[in-house]
Amino acid sequence: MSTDVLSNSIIIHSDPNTNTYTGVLRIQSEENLTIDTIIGNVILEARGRMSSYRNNLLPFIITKKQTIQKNQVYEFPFSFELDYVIDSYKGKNVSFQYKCEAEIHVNEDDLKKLDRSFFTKIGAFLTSDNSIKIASYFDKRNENKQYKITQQSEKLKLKPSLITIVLSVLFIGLTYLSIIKLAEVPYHFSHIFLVLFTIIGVNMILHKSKAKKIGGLFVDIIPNEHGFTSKINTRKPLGLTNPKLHYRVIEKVVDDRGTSTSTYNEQIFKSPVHRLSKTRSQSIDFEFPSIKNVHTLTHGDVSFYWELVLEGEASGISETLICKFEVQQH
Amino acid sequence: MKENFVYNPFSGVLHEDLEQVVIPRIDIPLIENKIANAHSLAIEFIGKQGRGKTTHLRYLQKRMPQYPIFNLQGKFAVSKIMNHPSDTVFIDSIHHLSLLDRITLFKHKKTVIYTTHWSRKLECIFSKKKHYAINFKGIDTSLLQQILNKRLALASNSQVSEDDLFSEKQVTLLIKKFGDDYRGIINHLYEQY
Repeated sequence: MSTDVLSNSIIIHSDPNTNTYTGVLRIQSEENLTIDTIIGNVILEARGRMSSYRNNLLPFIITKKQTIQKNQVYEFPFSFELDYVIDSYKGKNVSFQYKCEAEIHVNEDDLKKLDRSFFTKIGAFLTSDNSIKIASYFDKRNENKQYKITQQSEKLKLKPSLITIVLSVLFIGLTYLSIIKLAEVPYHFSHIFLVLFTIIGVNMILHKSKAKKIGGLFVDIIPNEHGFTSKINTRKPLGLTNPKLHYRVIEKVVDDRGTSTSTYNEQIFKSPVHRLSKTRSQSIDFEFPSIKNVHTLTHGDVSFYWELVLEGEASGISETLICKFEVQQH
Repeated sequence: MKENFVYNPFSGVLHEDLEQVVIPRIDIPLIENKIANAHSLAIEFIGKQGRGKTTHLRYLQKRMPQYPIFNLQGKFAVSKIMNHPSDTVFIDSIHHLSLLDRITLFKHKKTVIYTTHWSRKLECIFSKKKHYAINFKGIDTSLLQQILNKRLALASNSQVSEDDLFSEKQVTLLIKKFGDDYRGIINHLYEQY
């Protein structure tokens, strides 16, 4: 008996303008075989710098009760509709891929004709339940999909400034050392906590003071023909010099493999940067990026998020204000 | 990503592919026997981050699917584990439970197999539970070479050529750079592929 009894392949075709996929399963056998059923399945695989996972999305029957004559090629066409929120994507730390799998259940009377120790060259393998699985990856994308924004209003929040933190640590640290020396007070372990609380407290006060100086900033995000308009609303002139506005799209992957967790944030798109004036209200138009399939999304340990970034200087120190906003894809 | 691969070979391993990638460096039959015959036992997989503790825990649990595995992240209610009917449980990252919760767990579950950075021997003694520790440290060049090449073969869309496989020299260089930090090696290779 041959060690390569059943050879097979799957070919998938997709229509980039719809959610319809057609395919063909080709089988050729070196023995006469009776096949009970062939079950198809569409699987989403998410792999990357994270706990990879697969989701079985769409089981379907390809065919039932077939008799395969030896040395003849059989083709079983099939089709399915796949309208899932995620499209195929290859990013820095994650990829989403789609796979079509066919599970061939050979009639138990013919199982002895198959060599169970052999893995075919095309990638079919015998599962413990005596079915044969073969699979083919395919691209899922719909070129007609567009980004869509619904009008939303968000507050621009001031990010803690690393420079401020470092300067405050240096200042408070040096002040503490000076006091210790001048007052001739011996060092004590508990002073660390005092210094730490002082640093935290001072930074909180500084942060609030900066936020007040810059002014409460709100942004209305309004859809337009090619993207969206960001309308910045402030009660007083912007408290920043050289203010600039842009938006970015971030791919975020949480890696919780093992006993500790890491987070990877990758900027996958940055819009052109627009200079702002210091007037109270102003509008900036942005276009959507050409990259697709990175709308606001959280799927397992993966998320894509969009955020507006306002940068400028206050008292000579670079400051950044950020707000996230929602973008869908239809 | 390199062209001859369907996906990055150094991405996270799917649960379904574990047996094809993992080459256990611990005595699996011995541990299975201990679990099957234990009256009251804690089996501890201990070691620094990235040494393979979780991978081995998942591999072992896959061979014993009748027992549940709990992957703890952040704050976790121990009641979810306590309310599970199984007397034997696998716990990844047991340090996410408070001291009190760990002791409660050790007292009420017959066998607990868990991963940790720090030994929980004292808690086991307090809970009157036998303690068996497996230390994950050190790395074997030959074993690592096999694991890396298995990953390449699994992710490849065709037969992997000899040139694509990792040589002993390449593996030795990786170990020289990263020591026994298996996760560090995988993350480094992820960038290359």
